[in-house]
Amino acid sequence: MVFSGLAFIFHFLPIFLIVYYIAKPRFRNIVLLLGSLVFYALGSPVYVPLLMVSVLVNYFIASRIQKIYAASDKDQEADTEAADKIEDDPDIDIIDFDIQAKEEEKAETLTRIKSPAATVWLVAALIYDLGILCIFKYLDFILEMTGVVLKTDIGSIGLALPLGISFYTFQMISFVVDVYRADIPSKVSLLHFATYSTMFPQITSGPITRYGEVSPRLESLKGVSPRLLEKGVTAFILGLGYKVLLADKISALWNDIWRVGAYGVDVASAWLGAWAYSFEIYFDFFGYSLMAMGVGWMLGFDIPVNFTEPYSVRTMTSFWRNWHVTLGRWFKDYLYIPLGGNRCGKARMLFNMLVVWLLTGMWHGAGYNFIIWGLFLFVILMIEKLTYGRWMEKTRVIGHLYMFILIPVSWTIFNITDVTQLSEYLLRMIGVPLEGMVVYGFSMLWELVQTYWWLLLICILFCTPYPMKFFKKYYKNFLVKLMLLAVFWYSVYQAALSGGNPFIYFQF
Amino acid sequence: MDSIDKKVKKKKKKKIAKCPLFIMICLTVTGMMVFGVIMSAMGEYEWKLTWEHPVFAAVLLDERPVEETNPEPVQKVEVPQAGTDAVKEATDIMAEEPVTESTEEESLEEEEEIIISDEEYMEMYGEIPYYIEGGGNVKYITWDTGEPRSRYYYNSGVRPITSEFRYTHIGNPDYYENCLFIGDSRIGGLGTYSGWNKAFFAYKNGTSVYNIMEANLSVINGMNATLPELLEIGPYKLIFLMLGINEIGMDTNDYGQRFGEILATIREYQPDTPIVIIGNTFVTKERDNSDNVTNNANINDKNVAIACYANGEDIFYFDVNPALVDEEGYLQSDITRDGVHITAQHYHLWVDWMNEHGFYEGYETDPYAEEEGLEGTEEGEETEDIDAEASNGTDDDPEGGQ
Repeated sequence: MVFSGLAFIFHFLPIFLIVYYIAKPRFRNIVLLLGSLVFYALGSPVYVPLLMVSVLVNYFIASRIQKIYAASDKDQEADTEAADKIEDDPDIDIIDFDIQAKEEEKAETLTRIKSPAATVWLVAALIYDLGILCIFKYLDFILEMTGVVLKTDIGSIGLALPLGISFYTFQMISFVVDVYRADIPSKVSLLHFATYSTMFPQITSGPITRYGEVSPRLESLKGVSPRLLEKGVTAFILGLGYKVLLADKISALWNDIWRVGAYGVDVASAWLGAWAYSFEIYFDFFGYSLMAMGVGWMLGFDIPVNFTEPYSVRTMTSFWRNWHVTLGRWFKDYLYIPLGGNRCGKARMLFNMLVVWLLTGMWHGAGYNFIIWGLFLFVILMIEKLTYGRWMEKTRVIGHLYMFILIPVSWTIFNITDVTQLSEYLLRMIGVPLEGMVVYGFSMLWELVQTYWWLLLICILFCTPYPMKFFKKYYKNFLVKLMLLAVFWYSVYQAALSGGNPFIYFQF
Repeated sequence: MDSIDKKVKKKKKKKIAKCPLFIMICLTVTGMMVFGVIMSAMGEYEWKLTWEHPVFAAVLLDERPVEETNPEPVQKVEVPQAGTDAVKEATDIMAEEPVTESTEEESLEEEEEIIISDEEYMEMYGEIPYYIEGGGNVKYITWDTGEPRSRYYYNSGVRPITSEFRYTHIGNPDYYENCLFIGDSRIGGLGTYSGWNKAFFAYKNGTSVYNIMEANLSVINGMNATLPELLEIGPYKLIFLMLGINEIGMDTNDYGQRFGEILATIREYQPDTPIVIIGNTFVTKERDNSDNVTNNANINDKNVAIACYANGEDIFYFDVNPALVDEEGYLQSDITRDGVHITAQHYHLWVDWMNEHGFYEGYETDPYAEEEGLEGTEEGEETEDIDAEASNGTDDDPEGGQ
């Protein structure tokens, strides 16, 4: 069930909201948990037991760790408090050069509170979570790669990917690690953890929230203010518009190119297609994230922002600070910094970056192109770090031109899963002729521009910060509200016509 | 007490005032629901309430009750025949010795080939409303497509194949000079990748029988024109028409009738030009199995609905599928990315197939070089007449030089 589908907008959400608002505040968490399980069951009924088992296993392990800490001596408790007082520094980034003093201090404190038993439980949780992820997401790919190495056809298992497994697994890992680090000092109830892990606004495609971000609402049992409700509806409609009126519409341009293939595409059309896909994936995922945030607000939760104008930056480094923020944050907090971050010299930092970006690539999908994509990002980020990154940030025109080239190349690698087709398309982008290609002039480009020029202009406009600034400033204006009402119904009409396209990130 | 009540009321009003958009959404959604229920109850729209389909979606999507969609068998749109003697004589002469359709279909379909008269057909499939009088000389083979998987089509029990004709091999792309191809993205692909630079390809991605007459069509090389504008100029040597994949989610009856209306309009503008209906191409097995609407049974049903306009004299039906499908009758999976359209480098299959089904003899060489000569056969002479007419038309055509 997609957020932009009629089933969600007109059946699931209204019914759920009515029950949620009617229920007394103390029952709202249970209503949300049950609603989330129903939501998940409607999309992926077979894997509801798997989700529930994951919740129970992670909760059990987190409880064991908390018990171990509770039984530890006063010195450890004092250390825990000391660690809690050290706030995360938002400036720490997986690609920063500087060693953060606070980070070191915190790491030292955490080392003191670690107990071997807690570490064993943490490792058990990681084995379980990553094992489940490997089995359901990567097993066929691993078998395929093994077959290639052994030069034999091993076959495949053909397991369907459980809905949102990459997202909820990462979220559960973050919970267990936070407990292990004593970032969640007080005992968490099973209801709260289960609700946090399965919350329908973000279970399918994130944002990957940390328990600390939703716990205030889970534990406070506060009602939803009309202001927050209005804010939620506004964000939801904006997200719906981004998804249905921009992402789904511009996807037609890429489809026009994709269906004829690299052999029939001129250089300019190849670039246009790559840009079209770049627009599509941004509006699709940003639209989804806005809708998730909107639904979160409607329920009284503060779901973190996932995108902050990623297409108006000047370096790839900045791009990844602003694109899918919660995933980048996860890799930073739970992989890059534990690996040593940038505290152990340049060589180690580069190795850590390689690991992070390789895994970021693989997290997005089990395919060679995702590995290539991860490596591509690593190389670009490494070069930026070691050479022109800081300089590029200060430039105006050059930085944007640089990203104007890198963004479509990056998404093309991400988009085309067949490596042969990917290489053919990339060759066409740099103008290399393919044997047997049938390109006659630029007739395709003319037609695409004639058909999509207005949509391309709108997409460019919506990649700038101005539309969101406008909405943030004027969303209380009644005329803007009327406009949003029109956007809502037009989006619904378009969604009804198209039958509801799934979000790109649903496959991860 | 009154003052307390007033305060509570004021507070509630204030609360409502804080979320006007939410209130407007609630009111409009409720309004649409009520409207949908009333209209469906009155029989104006289909009563359909499923998890994926709110009751008012029928209003949004203009879903009328099925019995009203097909109250009576749809009558065939009368498409006037080509007027000039030249065309008639040419086609008559060529039709004198009909040769059975090329062996591709025969090898593909081992089922019994049948030609069904209108009476026989109505007797067999009388319930099927869109089958209309006048099947021309289109040849059908039996094909039971089973229970329809969506409301947009029927199981007609037959599949139309290319009109019988004495086709000839085309060896020169100039044969297509002054031919007009009208259609959707598939015709666009043919125009872009066939290399037939002298033909006119008028197309628009996503266009259909419902908007083709008004659409601003692309004509290769960045020009745009509407279909009436294009039809006003001419005359064309041949007109090819291929529409139907974007209508796949519409009722076959309605589609067939609209298609006939378009044929009639084309005939009105171009009274002497033979028209070739190109049947819709099938989809891959993967697409067919996963899609209740865009599947081969529906596509075939659409083809049955338009093939009947072919009369074998001045309107012909071409089935291009034999060149594109695999042994099971699905579009070959290695020549498509989306399961519907052919990739650029495989349009030659379609081109080759059409070159094997040329209408006029004598085009192995340049058809317009009279001095090089068309063969002096009777057919050749007639062909030359038509060709000359077509050439004159091109010369008179201000757009002809593009």
